[in-house]
Amino acid sequence: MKIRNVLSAAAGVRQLALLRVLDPINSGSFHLTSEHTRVGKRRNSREMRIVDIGTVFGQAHVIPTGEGQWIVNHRIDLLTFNEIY
Amino acid sequence: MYSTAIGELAHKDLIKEGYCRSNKNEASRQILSHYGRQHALGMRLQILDLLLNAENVVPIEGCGRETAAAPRRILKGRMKNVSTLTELCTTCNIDYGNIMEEMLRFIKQTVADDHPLSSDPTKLGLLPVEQFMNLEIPLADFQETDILQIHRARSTRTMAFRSCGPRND
Repeated sequence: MKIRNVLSAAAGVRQLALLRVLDPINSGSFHLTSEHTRVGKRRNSREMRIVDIGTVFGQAHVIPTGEGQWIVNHRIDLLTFNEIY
Repeated sequence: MYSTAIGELAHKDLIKEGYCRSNKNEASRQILSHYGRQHALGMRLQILDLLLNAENVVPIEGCGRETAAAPRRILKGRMKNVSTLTELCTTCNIDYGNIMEEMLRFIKQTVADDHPLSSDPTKLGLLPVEQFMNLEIPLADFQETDILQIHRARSTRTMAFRSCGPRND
C-alpha cells in the first residue's frame, strides 16, 4: 500500500507492505516425504506485520496443504512461472 | 607449432604447465590444484572487471567504495475502492485495531526518518491510502551482475491464486 503523509509539510509518500508472518515447521528442516520445508500460521504471537517494501527480499512459491500450513516450493523456476502467470 | 584442438590445448595448459610448477613429487594433485587456483583467480578478475565497468555506479558517502544503484521495487494492481485505512481493513478482512497497532509499531521503528508519519491514531486514520495487489521486485539473476529477474509478489488475500481451484501441474 501507499500512504500519503498530507498532514506533514514534507508530504512524503510511504510505500509499505502488510505481511502475514509464517513460521517454519520443525525448525525449517526438510520434510521426509516431500523433501521440502514447510511453513505454518503463527498461533501465539502477532501474525501481521507492516514493513517498508524495500525490505521485501523476493518472491516465494508456496503450496497450501490445509490446516494453515504451506509447502515452500524450492524447485520452481520462478522466471518461467512469472512469464506464464 | 600451435594447435586449436581442445585436447591439445588442455594438455599443455592443464598438465604440462602444472607439472612444471610442481615439485615432481606426487605431481597429479599439485597439477589439479594449480589449475583450480588459476581458474578461480581468472573468475575473480573477470567479476572485478565487470563490476568496475558496470553502469549505474553511484558512490555512497562514507562507504569508501562504489556500488551499483539498487533497482526500484514497483507497486502495481491498484484497488479502486480503497482510500483510507478503514477501507483497507474492510477489503482485507482485518481488524482495524490490529492494523493500527502494527502501523504505530512501524512508525516507532522508523522515527529517525526524514518524513515520519504521525503517531496519532486519529490523524493516521485520515491519511489517504492506496491499496496495491502486486509488488515487482527486481533481483539479480544467478551469477549475473547486470541481468535482472523480476519477481512478482502477489497478494491474493483469502482467495486462491487467480481465483482457481488446486492444480496438480
